[in-house]
Amino acid sequence: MAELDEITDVSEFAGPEPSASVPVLAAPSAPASAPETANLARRMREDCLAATSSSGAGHVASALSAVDILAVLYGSVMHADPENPKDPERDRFILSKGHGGSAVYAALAETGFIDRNDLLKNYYTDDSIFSGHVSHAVPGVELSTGSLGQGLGVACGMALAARLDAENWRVFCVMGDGECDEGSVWEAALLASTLELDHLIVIVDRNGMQSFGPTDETALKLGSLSEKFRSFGWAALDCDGHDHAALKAALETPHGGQPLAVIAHTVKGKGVSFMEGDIRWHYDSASKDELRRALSEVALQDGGFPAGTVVRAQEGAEA
Amino acid sequence: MRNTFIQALVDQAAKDPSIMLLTGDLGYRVVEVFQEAYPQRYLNCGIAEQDMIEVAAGLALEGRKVFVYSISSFPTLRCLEQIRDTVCYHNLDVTIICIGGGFAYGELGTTHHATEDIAAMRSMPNMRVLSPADPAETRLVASYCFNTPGPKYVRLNRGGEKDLPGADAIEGLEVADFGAPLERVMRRPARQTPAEDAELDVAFLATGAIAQEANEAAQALSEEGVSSLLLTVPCVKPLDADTVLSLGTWAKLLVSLEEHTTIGGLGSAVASVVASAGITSDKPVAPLLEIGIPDAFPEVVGSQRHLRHLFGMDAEGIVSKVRAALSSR
Ligand SMILES: Cc1ncc(C[n+]2csc(CCOP(=O)(O)OP(=O)(O)O)c2C)c(N)n1
Ligand SMILES: [Mg+2]
Repeated sequence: MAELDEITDVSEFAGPEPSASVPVLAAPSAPASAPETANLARRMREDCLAATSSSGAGHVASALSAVDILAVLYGSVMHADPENPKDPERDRFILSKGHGGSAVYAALAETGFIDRNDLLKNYYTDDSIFSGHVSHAVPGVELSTGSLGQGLGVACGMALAARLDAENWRVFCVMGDGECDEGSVWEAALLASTLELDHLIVIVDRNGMQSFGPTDETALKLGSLSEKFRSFGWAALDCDGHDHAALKAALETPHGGQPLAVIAHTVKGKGVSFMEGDIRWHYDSASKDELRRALSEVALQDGGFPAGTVVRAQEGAEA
Repeated sequence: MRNTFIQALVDQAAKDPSIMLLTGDLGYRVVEVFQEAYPQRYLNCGIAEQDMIEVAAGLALEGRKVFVYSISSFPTLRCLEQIRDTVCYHNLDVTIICIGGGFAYGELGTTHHATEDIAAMRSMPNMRVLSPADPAETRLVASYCFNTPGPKYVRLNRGGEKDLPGADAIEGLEVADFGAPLERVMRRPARQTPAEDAELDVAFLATGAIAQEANEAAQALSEEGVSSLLLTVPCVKPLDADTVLSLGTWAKLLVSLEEHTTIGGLGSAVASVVASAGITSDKPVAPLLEIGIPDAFPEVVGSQRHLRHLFGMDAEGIVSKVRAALSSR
């Protein structure tokens, strides 16, 4: 267990430790410095806050929770070209927790797929294509979602199509942890490992919260999601979902022959102290005053994120 | 409407220990009053609607009166087969409470528009379909659910709705007080209703919160000299065919209004009655103007008000559709 000692303490994360019987392999070493995505994440947070506040939309905490995951995906992992959004070679992205739509729109706005002013002006308003839940009417969005448990099966279908066409692009699918209550998630998870869809990468935004509060207390006991995915035949690992270096390393972990699940431990409402971990922000939007306070807090985080490590990287059970 | 229903449920649960409430991880700041009063009779089934329906069925098989709570299409379309094969086929006492009927969650996007639910629920044998227009009617529907065994679907709007005129007439009443089942309870919220023997240009049949728009349209039409009568339809299935027919033989034009696709909802139910009138009635029946959502997904989002407007289902749109229908006759 020597390696484990060097790994970041994960006790602050939700979910129990993996059982001792699960083999623990060495964590891939994290890059020396955080990738240049901290700025992107900061701007995305500003966009999510501004868009939801001015329109009175809910789910701002769900968006903030996933911002770092999306910033790393769009900023340094995925092949996505704003000049050619329908590039057949592009990596596909699905936000299965569709209520975090403002975070995807923010990523698209800040990487040049859509006009930022258009987003801020029109998000969640009359006659807009920017619905609260992510919409495929917006350039760069592959799939409209909003009914939880919808995305993973679609991601499997895409990954299968890529294989049938001998294409090399990958499919990234971000899900909520509460979303993992849905049976359809586990139906798709079984299919993905059965078909050995190794071009499929799932990131679970493991913020430990859903609609009424803590996942494991107010609804169903999710326990360790990495263990669950592993027992479903996936390669799975846990990481800090706000640490960009750790996220990047996790997403690039070799997982030959298996789909990969990254359980990204996050804080719902991340980046705004008064929103973090408070279920109210699943529903409410910031008043003008709250928005000002939130934006000033986010601006302070411009220094970037400290380099971190991927924790508990493990290969899945042998296929 | 949602708080109205849950409060009625809390009150009834004090009298009826068999009542249980299940939620699909929805109802924050709504269902807590029930949870606090009856923690043992409350269960958050998680974000797992198919399972929630099966669990409700199991509880109902063991003598519970089960209410399940969710929003938009999640407690209907998401778990349609569970509703059909388990709840309806076994004729179980399960009441599905759906918040967000029509475009109540307009800005959230298509997944949150409950616009095919009435059609799906109507098509199930044994299922009753309730769709109250305002808080007063919601209380009436709740009392109906408490006293009517079997599968029931209750479609509510959201919160903060105002009562239609005439609510005081039914306030505090129980369904039993009408001496008739809820199917016979249609209301006349419009302030000026013509005498039974007067000429009647238009008879509106409206279900759900959108009845408010019909009420406004009726006022506007009366200012233009068009006489009309509005009946709300809290019980879409079984539908009171006799009342529909008597209206159809009285008015020059029947108008159905629902915040739902025109395929399979109230309009379709009324259309069946009107179409078979030649067989069942010897008097001629007026033509039917069906107002609802056309067979298309909206291309943009917006508030409930705005989406109603886009589809010509707000008071203004209703008035112009009715005007056009009357003048083309
Ligand atoms: C099928 C379905 N059921 C219920 C909902 C309502 N709903 C929206 S968000 C949410 C909680 C989601 O929790 P989680 O997946 O953990 O996402 P988070 O906001 O925490 O990132 C629920 C129940 C839904 N959108 N879809
Ligand atoms: Mg969550």
